[in-house]
Amino acid sequence: MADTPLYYLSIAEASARIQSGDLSPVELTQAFLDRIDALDGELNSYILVTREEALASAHAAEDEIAAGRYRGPLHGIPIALKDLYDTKGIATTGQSKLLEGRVPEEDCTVWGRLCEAGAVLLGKLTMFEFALGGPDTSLEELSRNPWDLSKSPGGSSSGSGTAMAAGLAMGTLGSDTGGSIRIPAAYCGIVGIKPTYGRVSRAGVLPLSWSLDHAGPMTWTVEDAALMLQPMAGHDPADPTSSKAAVPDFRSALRDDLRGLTVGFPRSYIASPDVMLDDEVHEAFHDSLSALRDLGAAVEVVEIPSLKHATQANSLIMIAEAHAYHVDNLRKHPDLYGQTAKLCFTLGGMFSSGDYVQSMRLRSQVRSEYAALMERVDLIATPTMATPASDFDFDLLPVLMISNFMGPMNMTGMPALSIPNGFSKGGLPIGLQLAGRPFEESTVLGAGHAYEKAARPFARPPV
Amino acid sequence: MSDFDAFAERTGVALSQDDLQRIATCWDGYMEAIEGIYEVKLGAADEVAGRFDPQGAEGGA
Repeated sequence: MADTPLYYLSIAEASARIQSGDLSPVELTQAFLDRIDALDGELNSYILVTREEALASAHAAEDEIAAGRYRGPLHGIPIALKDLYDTKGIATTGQSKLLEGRVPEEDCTVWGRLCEAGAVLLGKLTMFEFALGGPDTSLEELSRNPWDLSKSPGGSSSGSGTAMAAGLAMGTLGSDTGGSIRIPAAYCGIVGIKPTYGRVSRAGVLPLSWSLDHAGPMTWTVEDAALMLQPMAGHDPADPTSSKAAVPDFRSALRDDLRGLTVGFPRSYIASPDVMLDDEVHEAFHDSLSALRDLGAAVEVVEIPSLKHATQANSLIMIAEAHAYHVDNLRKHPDLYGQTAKLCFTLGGMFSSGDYVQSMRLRSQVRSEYAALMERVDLIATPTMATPASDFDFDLLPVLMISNFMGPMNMTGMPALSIPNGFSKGGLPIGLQLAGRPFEESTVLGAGHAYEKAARPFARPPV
Repeated sequence: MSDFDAFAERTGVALSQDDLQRIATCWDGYMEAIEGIYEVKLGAADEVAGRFDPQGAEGGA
Protein backbone atom coordinates (compact mmCIF):
# COMPACT_ATOMS: atom_id res chain seq x y z
CA MET A 1 0.00 0.00 0.00
CA ALA A 2 2.89 2.33 0.72
CA ASP A 3 3.82 2.37 -2.98
CA THR A 4 0.27 2.96 -4.19
CA PRO A 5 -0.25 6.48 -5.56
CA LEU A 6 -2.68 8.44 -3.42
CA TYR A 7 -5.19 8.64 -6.27
CA TYR A 8 -5.34 4.84 -6.44
CA LEU A 9 -5.98 4.21 -2.75
CA SER A 10 -9.37 2.82 -1.83
CA ILE A 11 -11.57 4.87 0.47
CA ALA A 12 -11.02 2.27 3.21
CA GLU A 13 -7.24 2.58 2.86
CA ALA A 14 -7.21 6.37 2.71
CA SER A 15 -9.63 6.83 5.59
CA ALA A 16 -7.55 4.60 7.85
CA ARG A 17 -4.51 6.74 7.09
CA ILE A 18 -6.43 9.98 7.55
CA GLN A 19 -7.80 8.85 10.88
CA SER A 20 -4.36 7.86 12.13
CA GLY A 21 -2.89 11.20 11.03
CA ASP A 22 -0.67 9.53 8.43
CA LEU A 23 -2.41 11.23 5.49
CA SER A 24 -3.56 14.81 5.10
CA PRO A 25 -6.94 15.41 3.40
CA VAL A 26 -5.31 18.44 1.73
CA GLU A 27 -2.49 16.32 0.31
CA LEU A 28 -5.00 13.72 -0.84
CA THR A 29 -7.29 16.28 -2.48
CA GLN A 30 -4.35 17.98 -4.19
CA ALA A 31 -3.25 14.61 -5.61
CA PHE A 32 -6.64 14.22 -7.27
CA LEU A 33 -6.68 17.79 -8.56
CA ASP A 34 -3.23 17.26 -10.08
CA ARG A 35 -4.39 13.99 -11.62
CA ILE A 36 -7.45 15.70 -13.10
CA ASP A 37 -5.22 18.44 -14.55
CA ALA A 38 -2.94 15.83 -16.10
CA LEU A 39 -5.54 13.49 -17.60
CA ASP A 40 -8.98 14.97 -17.87
CA GLY A 41 -8.27 17.03 -20.95
CA GLU A 42 -8.32 13.72 -22.77
CA LEU A 43 -10.74 11.72 -20.62
CA ASN A 44 -13.30 14.53 -20.20
CA SER A 45 -14.94 13.05 -17.13
CA TYR A 46 -15.56 16.40 -15.41
CA ILE A 47 -18.00 19.05 -16.61
CA LEU A 48 -16.89 21.27 -13.70
CA VAL A 49 -13.94 21.02 -11.28
CA THR A 50 -14.62 22.78 -7.97
CA ARG A 51 -10.96 23.31 -7.16
CA GLU A 52 -11.20 26.12 -4.60
CA GLU A 53 -14.16 24.60 -2.79
CA ALA A 54 -12.41 21.23 -2.67
CA LEU A 55 -9.25 22.61 -1.14
CA ALA A 56 -11.24 24.70 1.35
CA SER A 57 -13.22 21.61 2.41
CA ALA A 58 -10.04 19.56 2.67
CA HIS A 59 -8.41 22.19 4.90
CA ALA A 60 -11.53 22.29 7.07
CA ALA A 61 -11.49 18.49 7.36
CA GLU A 62 -7.83 18.53 8.29
CA ASP A 63 -8.44 21.12 11.01
CA GLU A 64 -11.42 19.23 12.42
CA ILE A 65 -9.57 15.93 12.52
CA ALA A 66 -6.55 17.57 14.15
CA ALA A 67 -8.91 18.98 16.76
CA GLY A 68 -10.19 15.48 17.52
CA ARG A 69 -13.50 15.77 15.67
CA TYR A 70 -13.15 12.86 13.24
CA ARG A 71 -16.54 12.27 11.59
CA GLY A 72 -16.00 8.82 10.09
CA PRO A 73 -14.65 7.01 7.04
CA LEU A 74 -15.67 9.67 4.50
CA HIS A 75 -14.07 12.54 6.39
CA GLY A 76 -11.60 14.22 4.03
CA ILE A 77 -12.35 11.80 1.15
CA PRO A 78 -12.50 13.49 -2.32
CA ILE A 79 -15.53 12.46 -4.34
CA ALA A 80 -17.42 13.76 -7.39
CA LEU A 81 -21.08 13.85 -8.43
CA LYS A 82 -22.90 13.16 -11.68
CA ASP A 83 -24.12 16.53 -12.91
CA LEU A 84 -27.72 15.90 -11.91
CA TYR A 85 -27.21 16.10 -8.14
CA ASP A 86 -28.11 19.61 -6.98
CA THR A 87 -25.28 21.39 -5.21
CA LYS A 88 -25.91 24.72 -3.51
CA GLY A 89 -24.12 27.54 -5.32
CA ILE A 90 -22.52 25.16 -7.86
CA ALA A 91 -23.92 24.74 -11.38
CA THR A 92 -26.00 21.60 -12.00
CA THR A 93 -27.09 21.17 -15.60
CA GLY A 94 -27.92 17.54 -16.39
CA GLN A 95 -25.41 18.21 -19.21
CA SER A 96 -28.11 20.07 -21.16
CA LYS A 97 -28.11 23.51 -22.70
CA LEU A 98 -31.63 23.77 -21.37
CA LEU A 99 -30.18 24.13 -17.85
CA GLU A 100 -26.91 25.85 -18.74
CA GLY A 101 -25.99 28.27 -15.97
CA ARG A 102 -28.53 26.81 -13.53
CA VAL A 103 -27.21 27.17 -9.98
CA PRO A 104 -29.30 25.42 -7.29
CA GLU A 105 -30.09 27.24 -4.08
CA GLU A 106 -30.06 24.04 -2.03
CA ASP A 107 -28.07 20.83 -1.86
CA CYS A 108 -29.82 17.61 -2.77
CA THR A 109 -30.38 15.43 0.27
CA VAL A 110 -27.70 12.93 -0.71
CA TRP A 111 -24.91 15.47 -1.15
CA GLY A 112 -26.02 17.16 2.07
CA ARG A 113 -25.55 13.86 3.89
CA LEU A 114 -22.19 13.11 2.28
CA CYS A 115 -21.07 16.64 3.10
CA GLU A 116 -22.13 16.11 6.70
CA ALA A 117 -20.04 12.92 6.69
CA GLY A 118 -17.04 15.07 5.76
CA ALA A 119 -16.66 14.25 2.05
CA VAL A 120 -14.79 16.72 -0.18
CA LEU A 121 -16.41 17.70 -3.51
CA LEU A 122 -13.98 17.61 -6.45
CA GLY A 123 -16.60 18.60 -9.01
CA LYS A 124 -19.45 17.56 -11.26
CA LEU A 125 -19.21 14.75 -13.78
CA THR A 126 -20.23 14.41 -17.41
CA MET A 127 -23.26 12.30 -18.27
CA PHE A 128 -25.75 11.49 -21.00
CA GLU A 129 -28.05 14.51 -21.26
CA PHE A 130 -30.80 14.26 -18.61
CA ALA A 131 -29.55 10.71 -17.92
CA LEU A 132 -30.66 9.35 -21.29
CA GLY A 133 -29.58 11.54 -24.20
CA GLY A 134 -26.34 9.85 -25.19
CA PRO A 135 -24.10 9.43 -27.00
CA ASP A 136 -24.71 12.98 -28.28
CA THR A 137 -25.54 15.71 -25.78
CA SER A 138 -26.20 19.41 -26.05
CA LEU A 139 -23.44 20.42 -23.62
CA GLU A 140 -19.82 19.28 -23.62
CA GLU A 141 -18.37 16.10 -25.04
CA LEU A 142 -18.85 12.75 -23.37
CA SER A 143 -16.08 11.19 -21.36
CA ARG A 144 -13.91 8.41 -22.77
CA ASN A 145 -13.28 4.90 -21.53
CA PRO A 146 -9.86 4.87 -19.83
CA TRP A 147 -9.32 1.26 -20.91
CA ASP A 148 -9.60 2.23 -24.58
CA LEU A 149 -10.12 5.86 -25.51
CA SER A 150 -11.96 4.86 -28.68
CA LYS A 151 -14.67 3.16 -26.60
CA SER A 152 -17.61 4.51 -24.64
CA PRO A 153 -17.45 4.36 -20.85
CA GLY A 154 -21.17 3.59 -20.98
CA GLY A 155 -23.90 5.74 -19.58
CA SER A 156 -25.67 7.53 -18.49
CA SER A 157 -23.25 8.02 -15.58
CA SER A 158 -20.35 8.24 -18.03
CA GLY A 159 -18.00 10.59 -16.18
CA SER A 160 -18.71 8.75 -12.92
CA GLY A 161 -17.33 5.55 -14.46
CA THR A 162 -14.37 7.16 -16.20
CA ALA A 163 -13.27 9.27 -13.23
CA MET A 164 -13.51 6.34 -10.84
CA ALA A 165 -11.52 3.93 -13.01
CA ALA A 166 -8.82 6.45 -13.93
CA GLY A 167 -8.16 7.64 -10.39
CA LEU A 168 -9.77 11.06 -10.85
CA ALA A 169 -12.02 10.65 -7.80
CA MET A 170 -12.03 8.32 -4.80
CA GLY A 171 -15.77 7.73 -5.12
CA THR A 172 -18.50 8.98 -7.44
CA LEU A 173 -22.28 9.10 -7.55
CA GLY A 174 -24.33 7.88 -10.47
CA SER A 175 -28.03 7.40 -11.05
CA ASP A 176 -29.76 4.35 -12.51
CA THR A 177 -33.11 4.14 -14.33
CA GLY A 178 -32.36 1.25 -16.66
CA GLY A 179 -28.73 0.45 -15.80
CA SER A 180 -26.98 3.83 -15.72
CA ILE A 181 -24.85 3.01 -12.67
CA ARG A 182 -24.19 -0.61 -13.60
CA ILE A 183 -23.41 -0.06 -17.30
CA PRO A 184 -20.44 2.30 -16.76
CA ALA A 185 -19.37 0.21 -13.77
CA ALA A 186 -19.14 -2.84 -16.03
CA TYR A 187 -17.56 -0.99 -18.96
CA CYS A 188 -14.98 0.79 -16.80
CA GLY A 189 -14.05 -2.10 -14.50
CA ILE A 190 -15.32 -0.64 -11.22
CA VAL A 191 -18.03 -1.35 -8.63
CA GLY A 192 -21.50 0.22 -8.80
CA ILE A 193 -24.60 -0.45 -6.74
CA LYS A 194 -28.18 0.45 -7.50
CA PRO A 195 -29.74 0.30 -4.03
CA THR A 196 -33.34 -0.70 -3.36
CA TYR A 197 -35.95 1.77 -4.63
CA GLY A 198 -36.70 3.99 -1.65
CA ARG A 199 -33.41 3.31 0.13
CA VAL A 200 -31.66 6.50 -1.06
CA SER A 201 -33.41 9.86 -1.40
CA ARG A 202 -33.82 11.42 -4.85
CA ALA A 203 -34.81 14.82 -3.46
CA GLY A 204 -32.82 17.42 -5.36
CA VAL A 205 -31.76 14.96 -8.07
CA LEU A 206 -32.88 15.81 -11.62
CA PRO A 207 -35.37 13.10 -12.60
CA LEU A 208 -35.53 10.91 -15.67
CA SER A 209 -38.37 8.57 -14.67
CA TRP A 210 -39.70 8.96 -11.16
CA SER A 211 -40.93 5.41 -10.70
CA LEU A 212 -37.64 3.88 -11.91
CA ASP A 213 -34.87 6.33 -10.86
CA HIS A 214 -32.35 5.21 -8.24
CA ALA A 215 -29.35 7.07 -6.79
CA GLY A 216 -26.21 5.17 -5.81
CA PRO A 217 -22.42 5.10 -5.43
CA MET A 218 -19.69 3.98 -7.83
CA THR A 219 -16.37 2.96 -6.29
CA TRP A 220 -13.18 0.97 -6.70
CA THR A 221 -14.10 -1.76 -4.19
CA VAL A 222 -17.26 -3.26 -2.71
CA GLU A 223 -16.14 -2.14 0.75
CA ASP A 224 -15.94 1.43 -0.55
CA ALA A 225 -19.47 1.10 -1.95
CA ALA A 226 -20.64 0.08 1.53
CA LEU A 227 -18.86 3.09 3.05
CA MET A 228 -20.38 5.51 0.52
CA LEU A 229 -23.88 4.05 0.74
CA GLN A 230 -24.00 4.23 4.55
CA PRO A 231 -24.62 7.97 4.97
CA MET A 232 -26.64 8.15 1.73
CA ALA A 233 -29.23 5.62 2.90
CA GLY A 234 -32.22 6.30 5.09
CA HIS A 235 -35.58 8.01 5.18
CA ASP A 236 -35.95 11.50 3.78
CA PRO A 237 -39.29 13.27 4.20
CA ALA A 238 -38.41 15.43 1.18
CA ASP A 239 -38.72 12.37 -1.10
CA PRO A 240 -42.25 10.86 -1.04
CA THR A 241 -40.92 7.50 -2.25
CA SER A 242 -38.29 7.32 0.49
CA SER A 243 -38.53 4.28 2.73
CA LYS A 244 -38.50 4.21 6.54
CA ALA A 245 -36.83 0.80 6.52
CA ALA A 246 -34.04 0.55 9.08
CA VAL A 247 -30.53 1.05 7.69
CA PRO A 248 -28.06 -1.64 8.78
CA ASP A 249 -24.29 -1.22 9.07
CA PHE A 250 -23.30 -2.22 5.53
CA ARG A 251 -19.57 -2.57 6.21
CA SER A 252 -20.09 -5.03 9.03
CA ALA A 253 -22.05 -7.28 6.64
CA LEU A 254 -19.03 -7.82 4.37
CA ARG A 255 -17.95 -11.45 4.41
CA ASP A 256 -15.27 -13.78 3.11
CA ASP A 257 -17.40 -16.66 1.89
CA LEU A 258 -20.87 -17.45 0.60
CA ARG A 259 -21.73 -20.42 2.80
CA GLY A 260 -25.45 -20.64 3.49
CA LEU A 261 -26.43 -18.56 0.46
CA THR A 262 -28.27 -19.78 -2.62
CA VAL A 263 -27.57 -18.04 -5.92
CA GLY A 264 -30.00 -18.45 -8.82
CA PHE A 265 -29.25 -17.70 -12.45
CA PRO A 266 -31.86 -17.46 -15.23
CA ARG A 267 -30.06 -19.78 -17.65
CA SER A 268 -32.57 -19.75 -20.48
CA TYR A 269 -32.82 -15.94 -20.48
CA ILE A 270 -29.04 -15.56 -20.40
CA ALA A 271 -28.72 -17.93 -23.34
CA SER A 272 -31.61 -16.36 -25.26
CA PRO A 273 -30.69 -14.81 -28.61
CA ASP A 274 -32.73 -11.78 -27.48
CA VAL A 275 -29.92 -10.60 -25.16
CA MET A 276 -27.18 -11.12 -27.78
CA LEU A 277 -24.61 -12.23 -25.22
CA ASP A 278 -20.98 -12.00 -26.29
CA ASP A 279 -19.11 -15.33 -26.11
CA GLU A 280 -16.35 -13.96 -23.89
CA VAL A 281 -18.87 -12.46 -21.47
CA HIS A 282 -20.73 -15.77 -21.41
CA GLU A 283 -17.52 -17.62 -20.64
CA ALA A 284 -16.61 -15.18 -17.88
CA PHE A 285 -20.08 -15.58 -16.38
CA HIS A 286 -19.80 -19.36 -16.29
CA ASP A 287 -16.41 -19.06 -14.64
CA SER A 288 -18.01 -16.81 -12.04
CA LEU A 289 -20.62 -19.48 -11.24
CA SER A 290 -17.78 -21.88 -10.45
CA ALA A 291 -16.16 -19.24 -8.24
CA LEU A 292 -19.45 -18.67 -6.41
CA ARG A 293 -19.70 -22.42 -5.76
CA ASP A 294 -16.08 -22.51 -4.59
CA LEU A 295 -16.96 -19.80 -2.08
CA GLY A 296 -19.65 -22.04 -0.62
CA ALA A 297 -22.82 -20.87 -2.37
CA ALA A 298 -25.43 -23.27 -3.69
CA VAL A 299 -25.97 -22.33 -7.33
CA GLU A 300 -29.15 -23.26 -9.17
CA VAL A 301 -31.01 -22.54 -12.39
CA VAL A 302 -34.12 -20.38 -12.04
CA GLU A 303 -36.88 -19.35 -14.42
CA ILE A 304 -38.57 -15.95 -14.53
CA PRO A 305 -41.23 -16.24 -17.26
CA SER A 306 -42.02 -12.54 -17.79
CA LEU A 307 -38.34 -11.56 -17.91
CA LYS A 308 -38.50 -11.87 -21.70
CA HIS A 309 -40.47 -8.62 -21.98
CA ALA A 310 -39.26 -6.80 -18.85
CA THR A 311 -36.58 -4.65 -20.49
CA GLN A 312 -39.00 -3.39 -23.12
CA ALA A 313 -41.62 -2.52 -20.53
CA ASN A 314 -38.97 -0.79 -18.40
CA SER A 315 -37.81 1.30 -21.36
CA LEU A 316 -41.35 2.23 -22.33
CA ILE A 317 -42.20 3.36 -18.79
CA MET A 318 -38.90 5.26 -18.64
CA ILE A 319 -39.36 7.30 -21.80
CA ALA A 320 -43.09 7.82 -21.22
CA GLU A 321 -42.41 9.29 -17.77
CA ALA A 322 -39.50 11.30 -19.19
CA HIS A 323 -41.83 12.66 -21.87
CA ALA A 324 -44.28 13.79 -19.21
CA TYR A 325 -41.48 15.62 -17.38
CA HIS A 326 -39.98 17.26 -20.48
CA VAL A 327 -42.94 17.86 -22.79
CA ASP A 328 -43.37 21.57 -22.07
CA ASN A 329 -39.70 22.31 -22.66
CA LEU A 330 -39.60 20.04 -25.72
CA ARG A 331 -42.39 22.10 -27.27
CA LYS A 332 -40.95 25.47 -26.28
CA HIS A 333 -37.21 24.87 -26.64
CA PRO A 334 -36.56 21.81 -28.81
CA ASP A 335 -33.25 23.24 -30.01
CA LEU A 336 -31.84 23.28 -26.49
CA TYR A 337 -31.88 19.48 -26.37
CA GLY A 338 -29.32 17.22 -27.99
CA GLN A 339 -30.80 15.09 -30.73
CA THR A 340 -30.87 11.82 -28.79
CA ALA A 341 -32.56 13.33 -25.74
CA LYS A 342 -35.07 15.16 -27.91
CA LEU A 343 -35.97 12.05 -29.89
CA CYS A 344 -36.11 9.68 -26.90
CA PHE A 345 -38.32 12.03 -24.92
CA THR A 346 -40.55 12.74 -27.91
CA LEU A 347 -40.84 9.04 -28.70
CA GLY A 348 -42.05 8.57 -25.13
CA GLY A 349 -45.13 10.61 -26.03
CA MET A 350 -46.01 8.54 -29.08
CA PHE A 351 -47.32 5.49 -27.22
CA SER A 352 -50.90 4.97 -26.13
CA SER A 353 -52.12 5.10 -22.56
CA GLY A 354 -52.85 1.39 -22.95
CA ASP A 355 -49.19 0.71 -23.78
CA TYR A 356 -48.10 2.45 -20.56
CA VAL A 357 -50.74 0.73 -18.44
CA GLN A 358 -49.86 -2.66 -19.91
CA SER A 359 -46.21 -2.02 -19.12
CA MET A 360 -47.10 -1.22 -15.53
CA ARG A 361 -49.20 -4.40 -15.31
CA LEU A 362 -46.24 -6.36 -16.63
CA ARG A 363 -44.15 -4.64 -13.99
CA SER A 364 -46.45 -6.00 -11.29
CA GLN A 365 -46.11 -9.44 -12.85
CA VAL A 366 -42.32 -9.23 -12.90
CA ARG A 367 -42.29 -8.14 -9.27
CA SER A 368 -44.58 -11.00 -8.27
CA GLU A 369 -42.38 -13.55 -10.03
CA TYR A 370 -39.21 -12.21 -8.44
CA ALA A 371 -40.87 -12.05 -5.01
CA ALA A 372 -41.81 -15.73 -5.24
CA LEU A 373 -38.37 -16.66 -6.49
CA MET A 374 -36.56 -14.75 -3.76
CA GLU A 375 -38.28 -16.89 -1.12
CA ARG A 376 -35.94 -19.72 -2.09
CA VAL A 377 -32.82 -18.00 -3.44
CA ASP A 378 -30.83 -15.20 -1.81
CA LEU A 379 -29.23 -13.71 -4.91
CA ILE A 380 -29.73 -13.61 -8.67
CA ALA A 381 -26.54 -13.66 -10.74
CA THR A 382 -26.29 -12.53 -14.37
CA PRO A 383 -23.72 -10.78 -16.49
CA THR A 384 -24.12 -7.00 -16.12
CA MET A 385 -23.73 -6.09 -19.79
CA ALA A 386 -23.99 -8.51 -22.70
CA THR A 387 -20.81 -7.18 -24.30
CA PRO A 388 -17.64 -5.30 -23.35
CA ALA A 389 -17.59 -1.54 -23.97
CA SER A 390 -19.09 -0.39 -27.26
CA ASP A 391 -17.95 2.22 -29.77
CA PHE A 392 -19.35 5.75 -29.56
CA ASP A 393 -21.43 5.62 -32.72
CA PHE A 394 -24.31 3.55 -31.35
CA ASP A 395 -27.92 4.68 -31.76
CA LEU A 396 -29.64 4.60 -28.37
CA LEU A 397 -33.21 4.51 -29.70
CA PRO A 398 -33.22 0.90 -30.96
CA VAL A 399 -30.87 -0.19 -28.13
CA LEU A 400 -33.59 0.63 -25.57
CA MET A 401 -35.70 -2.24 -26.90
CA ILE A 402 -32.98 -4.91 -26.71
CA SER A 403 -33.41 -7.27 -23.77
CA ASN A 404 -30.83 -6.78 -21.03
CA PHE A 405 -30.07 -7.80 -17.46
CA MET A 406 -30.49 -4.43 -15.76
CA GLY A 407 -33.91 -2.99 -16.60
CA PRO A 408 -35.74 -5.77 -14.74
CA MET A 409 -34.03 -4.67 -11.52
CA ASN A 410 -35.36 -1.14 -11.99
CA MET A 411 -38.82 -2.63 -12.54
CA THR A 412 -38.65 -4.58 -9.26
CA GLY A 413 -36.63 -2.02 -7.30
CA MET A 414 -34.36 -4.81 -6.03
CA PRO A 415 -30.78 -3.88 -5.06
CA ALA A 416 -28.29 -4.81 -7.79
CA LEU A 417 -24.51 -4.65 -7.72
CA SER A 418 -22.09 -4.72 -10.65
CA ILE A 419 -18.59 -5.94 -9.86
CA PRO A 420 -15.61 -6.48 -12.18
CA ASN A 421 -15.45 -9.99 -13.58
CA GLY A 422 -12.30 -10.15 -15.67
CA PHE A 423 -11.43 -8.84 -19.11
CA SER A 424 -12.07 -9.61 -22.74
CA LYS A 425 -9.18 -10.69 -24.94
CA GLY A 426 -9.12 -7.09 -26.13
CA GLY A 427 -8.43 -5.89 -22.60
CA LEU A 428 -11.88 -4.46 -21.87
CA PRO A 429 -13.59 -5.03 -18.50
CA ILE A 430 -16.53 -7.39 -18.04
CA GLY A 431 -19.10 -7.08 -15.23
CA LEU A 432 -21.02 -9.50 -13.01
CA GLN A 433 -24.40 -8.46 -11.58
CA LEU A 434 -25.64 -9.74 -8.21
CA ALA A 435 -29.18 -8.77 -7.17
CA GLY A 436 -30.90 -9.42 -3.86
CA ARG A 437 -34.17 -9.00 -1.99
CA PRO A 438 -35.53 -5.48 -1.42
CA PHE A 439 -33.65 -3.71 1.38
CA GLU A 440 -31.07 -6.50 1.59
CA GLU A 441 -28.13 -4.51 0.22
CA SER A 442 -26.09 -6.11 3.01
CA THR A 443 -26.46 -9.54 1.42
CA VAL A 444 -25.56 -8.19 -2.02
CA LEU A 445 -22.55 -6.24 -0.77
CA GLY A 446 -21.44 -9.12 1.45
CA ALA A 447 -21.49 -11.57 -1.44
CA GLY A 448 -19.84 -9.07 -3.78
CA HIS A 449 -17.04 -8.51 -1.28
CA ALA A 450 -16.38 -12.24 -0.96
CA TYR A 451 -16.41 -12.68 -4.72
CA GLU A 452 -14.15 -9.68 -5.25
CA LYS A 453 -11.55 -10.95 -2.79
CA ALA A 454 -11.52 -14.39 -4.34
CA ALA A 455 -11.85 -13.74 -8.05
CA ARG A 456 -11.24 -10.12 -9.07
CA PRO A 457 -8.13 -9.03 -10.90
CA PHE A 458 -7.45 -5.58 -9.41
CA ALA A 459 -6.01 -3.99 -12.54
CA ARG A 460 -6.13 -0.27 -13.31
CA PRO A 461 -6.52 1.13 -16.84
CA PRO A 462 -3.46 2.11 -18.91
CA VAL A 463 -3.72 5.88 -18.46
CA MET B 1 -51.55 10.83 -42.62
CA SER B 2 -50.06 7.58 -41.30
CA ASP B 3 -50.43 6.44 -37.69
CA PHE B 4 -46.76 7.21 -37.18
CA ASP B 5 -47.11 10.78 -38.44
CA ALA B 6 -50.24 11.29 -36.35
CA PHE B 7 -48.53 10.03 -33.21
CA ALA B 8 -45.53 12.25 -33.84
CA GLU B 9 -47.72 15.29 -34.50
CA ARG B 10 -49.74 14.68 -31.35
CA THR B 11 -46.66 15.20 -29.19
CA GLY B 12 -46.59 18.85 -30.26
CA VAL B 13 -42.79 18.78 -30.60
CA ALA B 14 -41.28 20.41 -33.68
CA LEU B 15 -39.34 17.68 -35.46
CA SER B 16 -37.24 17.98 -38.61
CA GLN B 17 -37.44 15.44 -41.41
CA ASP B 18 -34.16 13.99 -40.13
CA ASP B 19 -35.65 13.64 -36.64
CA LEU B 20 -38.74 11.91 -38.00
CA GLN B 21 -36.63 9.60 -40.13
CA ARG B 22 -34.51 8.56 -37.17
CA ILE B 23 -37.56 7.75 -35.06
CA ALA B 24 -39.22 6.00 -38.01
CA THR B 25 -36.28 3.64 -38.44
CA CYS B 26 -36.85 2.17 -34.96
CA TRP B 27 -40.64 2.53 -34.81
CA ASP B 28 -41.41 -0.97 -36.09
CA GLY B 29 -39.07 -2.43 -33.49
CA TYR B 30 -40.91 -0.58 -30.76
CA MET B 31 -44.31 -1.73 -32.03
CA GLU B 32 -43.07 -5.32 -32.14
CA ALA B 33 -41.76 -5.06 -28.57
CA ILE B 34 -45.07 -3.63 -27.37
CA GLU B 35 -46.93 -6.54 -28.97
CA GLY B 36 -44.79 -8.78 -26.77
CA ILE B 37 -45.82 -6.86 -23.68
CA TYR B 38 -49.50 -7.38 -24.59
CA GLU B 39 -48.94 -11.11 -25.09
CA VAL B 40 -47.94 -11.73 -21.47
CA LYS B 41 -50.59 -13.54 -19.46
CA LEU B 42 -51.27 -11.22 -16.57
CA GLY B 43 -52.80 -13.26 -13.79
CA ALA B 44 -51.82 -12.19 -10.31
CA ALA B 45 -50.75 -8.82 -11.66
CA ASP B 46 -54.35 -8.00 -12.58
CA GLU B 47 -55.33 -8.30 -8.95
CA VAL B 48 -52.73 -5.84 -7.72
CA ALA B 49 -52.47 -3.46 -10.66
CA GLY B 50 -55.18 -1.26 -9.24
CA ARG B 51 -53.30 -0.73 -6.02
CA PHE B 52 -49.77 -0.47 -7.26
CA ASP B 53 -47.62 1.01 -4.51
CA PRO B 54 -44.27 2.65 -4.92
CA GLN B 55 -41.78 0.01 -3.91
CA GLY B 56 -40.58 2.20 -1.10
CA ALA B 57 -43.90 1.75 0.63
CA GLU B 58 -42.98 -1.85 1.32
CA GLY B 59 -40.35 -0.55 3.66
CA GLY B 60 -42.88 1.45 5.57
CA ALA B 61 -42.72 4.85 3.88
